Amino acid sequence: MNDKTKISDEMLNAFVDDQVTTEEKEQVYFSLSKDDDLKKAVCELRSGKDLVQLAYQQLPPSPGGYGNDGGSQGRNGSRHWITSIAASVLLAMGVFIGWQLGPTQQNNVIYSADNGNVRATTVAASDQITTKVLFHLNSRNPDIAREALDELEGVLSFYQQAGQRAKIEMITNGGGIDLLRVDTSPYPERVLALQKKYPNLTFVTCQNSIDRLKRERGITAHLLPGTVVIDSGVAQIMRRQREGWAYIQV
Amino acid sequence: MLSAIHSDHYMEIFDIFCRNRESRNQLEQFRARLYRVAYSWCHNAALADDLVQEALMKAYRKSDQLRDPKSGQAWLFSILSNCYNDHFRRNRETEDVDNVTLVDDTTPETETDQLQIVDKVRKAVATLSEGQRQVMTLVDLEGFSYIEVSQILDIPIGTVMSRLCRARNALKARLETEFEKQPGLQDAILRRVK
Repeated sequence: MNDKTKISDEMLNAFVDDQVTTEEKEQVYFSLSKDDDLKKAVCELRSGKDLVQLAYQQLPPSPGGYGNDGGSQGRNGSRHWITSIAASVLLAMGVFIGWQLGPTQQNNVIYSADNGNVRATTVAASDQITTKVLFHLNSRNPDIAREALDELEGVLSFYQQAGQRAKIEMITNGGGIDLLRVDTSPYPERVLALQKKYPNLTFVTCQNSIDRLKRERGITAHLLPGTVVIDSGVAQIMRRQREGWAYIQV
Repeated sequence: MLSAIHSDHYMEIFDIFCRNRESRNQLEQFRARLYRVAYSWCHNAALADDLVQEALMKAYRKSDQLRDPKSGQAWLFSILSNCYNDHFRRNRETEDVDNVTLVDDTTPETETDQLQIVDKVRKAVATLSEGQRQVMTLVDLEGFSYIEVSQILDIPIGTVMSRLCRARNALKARLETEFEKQPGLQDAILRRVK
């Protein structure tokens, strides 16, 4: 059964607007991990929101003498500057038209683990020197987190031994951010050691997940040193895939 | 008539409304936010200004009806929505056709790529039904929750969700058509993908 059939358009909109329960969000994330069309739909919805916000940033001056900058930026808190318009335009073009041009270059690396031996094969789609791999962890299960770190370290070790350049990013959202929280991480020393050993490795977590933790459970997330925080985990995954990063969900 | 409200008169009300600097600053922010949403609904600066002024005056008169200060933002926007609906109810039979078509006008000064995008999005938003447009702008511009939007517009939350869904689908379809028409766009995208 197609997972997409379980996610209605209304539900998808509510997901993008952060108007769903934790269980519903987990269901959507699960479907997203298996359905490229659903990912595309989420990306389009987010870009549509951005475009609407962009369209009303700069307003005609009101006869009352205010509002020519659109005033405060609403409760979203997203402040845009004039210089962001060009970037937004490019984003809009890419989202609304890009997919119409057909499949674009995506995963550059095919990754597999076989009896503990990690193999990575570069697809000769381009002459890129640097290989880029994105690991995605959204579970707080310590066993899954350990497997993720194992796979991550395997890839890092392979490229180091092979003398090839690679950029590896582990993005965590949902329950996955527990791996990078000081008070919950089951393997804090290992995370720090990996960062120290591999400067080409970045641990990333999602501001939306941090906000939700605060909102729903009243917990302020204290992150391990070196953790990078981005706006949205899903958006980051989309961005990285568009940039040609290989995506591996653990 | 709304436009007869002079801005000096408005500022006087404004001063009465907020007697200290903090509340004045807050109201100043609210005023700009109300204006932005009002403009997104009607795409007419003068009308949006009038609607905001009327909404704030009504809010001042009805301020004793606000039981829960936490719902003050939604309350203000619900008054704005009522003002908007009242205006078009009053003017439905005498709406100036020129004012309607003004929404789709473009000027030579706006012929840059960036402003074309803004213009196209505004046009696409303007083609939505009133109900869809109101729901979408309250969610996207102001970040209101679905429950708050249902309170502001006095409609069931299910209607909020369905209108929002239809609005975004319609907007997407319209923008895809608009962007396809834009000369040289495909070259730009190909460079971006690469």
